[in-house]
Amino acid sequence: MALTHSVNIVVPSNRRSLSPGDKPRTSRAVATRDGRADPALASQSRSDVFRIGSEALDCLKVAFAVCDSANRLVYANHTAHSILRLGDGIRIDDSGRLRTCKPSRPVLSDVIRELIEAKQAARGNTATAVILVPRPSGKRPLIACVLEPSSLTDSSGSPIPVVPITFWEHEESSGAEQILRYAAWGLTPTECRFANLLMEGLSLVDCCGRMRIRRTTGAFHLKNLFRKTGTSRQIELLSVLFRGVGSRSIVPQTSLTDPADYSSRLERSVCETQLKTRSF
Amino acid sequence: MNYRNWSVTNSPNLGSIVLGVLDLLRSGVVMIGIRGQLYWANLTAKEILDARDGLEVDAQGFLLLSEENRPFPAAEVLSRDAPAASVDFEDQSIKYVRRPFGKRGLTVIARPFVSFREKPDADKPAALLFIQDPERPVRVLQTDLRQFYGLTLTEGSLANFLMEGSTLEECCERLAIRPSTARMHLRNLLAKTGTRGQGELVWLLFRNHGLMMPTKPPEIRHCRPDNHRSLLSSMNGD
Repeated sequence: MALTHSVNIVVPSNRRSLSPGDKPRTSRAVATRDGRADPALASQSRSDVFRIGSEALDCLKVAFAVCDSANRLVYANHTAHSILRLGDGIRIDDSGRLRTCKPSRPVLSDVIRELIEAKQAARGNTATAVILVPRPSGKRPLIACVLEPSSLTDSSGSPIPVVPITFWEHEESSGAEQILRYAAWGLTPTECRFANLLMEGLSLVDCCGRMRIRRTTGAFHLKNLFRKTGTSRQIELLSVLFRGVGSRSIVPQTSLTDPADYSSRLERSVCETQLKTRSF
Repeated sequence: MNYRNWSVTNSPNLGSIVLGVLDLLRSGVVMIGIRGQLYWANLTAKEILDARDGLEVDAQGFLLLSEENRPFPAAEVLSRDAPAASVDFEDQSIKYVRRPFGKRGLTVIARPFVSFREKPDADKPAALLFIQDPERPVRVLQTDLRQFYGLTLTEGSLANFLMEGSTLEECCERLAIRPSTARMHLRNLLAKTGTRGQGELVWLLFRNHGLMMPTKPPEIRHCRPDNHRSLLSSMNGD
């Protein structure tokens, strides 16, 4: 397919990339989801819009990637890159394609193809698809959602069908401790730690074990959490906590402020992906 | 930071795909300038701002604190020596926004854009705000529950009620079913989701559906649908 080549053409080099201070190249209106132009962001260049939008996505503990119809990776956010790099469930193969390590149910590439075909044929509403991706390490499977297909425009102006994919894992810390500290309830640091462990799915006994406190102390913290949040049961507490600080943390990604570490590695991997894609 | 730009040079509308994904989040995402001017808000943030309960947008397109009726202190929140109400951690600060009508306040996480940190400009987007509203109902769409776990409608409603923090007895009342029936539904629910108890079930549901809505809800109600549009366009004019 000819169009797959045009997705990944530009290999970034330090010189070529836009620095934040660069003059916007275009100031055409950016179409929002509902098709109308958003006047406020329209004053920003398209690359600026992409940059600040992807910064927002990089703060999320949910992986987000964009693939073309041949499964080639076009874009991945921070979390997506860390999951892909780990290679436990979903990985990038030698030709830069997104692959599941073990056969998933249903098969990822089939789903992507079907959704794009359905979108092109405009057969009603193209629903999203959920895929359970088994992990070689034996952890709970990754959950991948293939979202509604969209299209990108290449340099010649022809559309390239792409699908946004989001995936996430369960075994990741909730990281809500610091947010809890400043949430509505006036929790003490210990209570925040305790609440954070509860939000990670630990039982009361496990929380006490992790914090190296006695069960009675744990029960005491729990009682105070109930009082401060105005709840009376553990499930209710969990519900209030999740709603109050978000169920997946919006966390500082230290590596974003430290380009030397993460970005260079990432850039290399993206470059490699692209080079491979190009030579393919 | 170079990788951030590599594909956009090629595909100018990748930005709108990214913004489209932000619209699927249940957390409010707002992009503001250092003077508090609003650049962009996702659907959830628009609903929060439309409610004018805690945070709102004034006629000039600036973010306001509803209770104190003063501009959102963007510069203050983003400054290094943030006041006691907020705290810096790793360039990110958290602000608790009170609400006038006694509801639980909004938790706002502010994070300056890399470009702004490198080159502050009052007329460029300066920061991302993630807004968490504890009073917002969490409701997982039945279609999602069916797609993810194969739940029936009743099981789906039960799952939603449990997520809100209802007890099983309250669920019985709301669904008008007997306790024995509810227990049966719960048993099936646990089997289908592969969880071992109500606690784990609620945890799993929040972890899977708390942040993203993979499917867009069929209708998204705005109190005043044209509010932000007009605000944004008036802002663009000046």
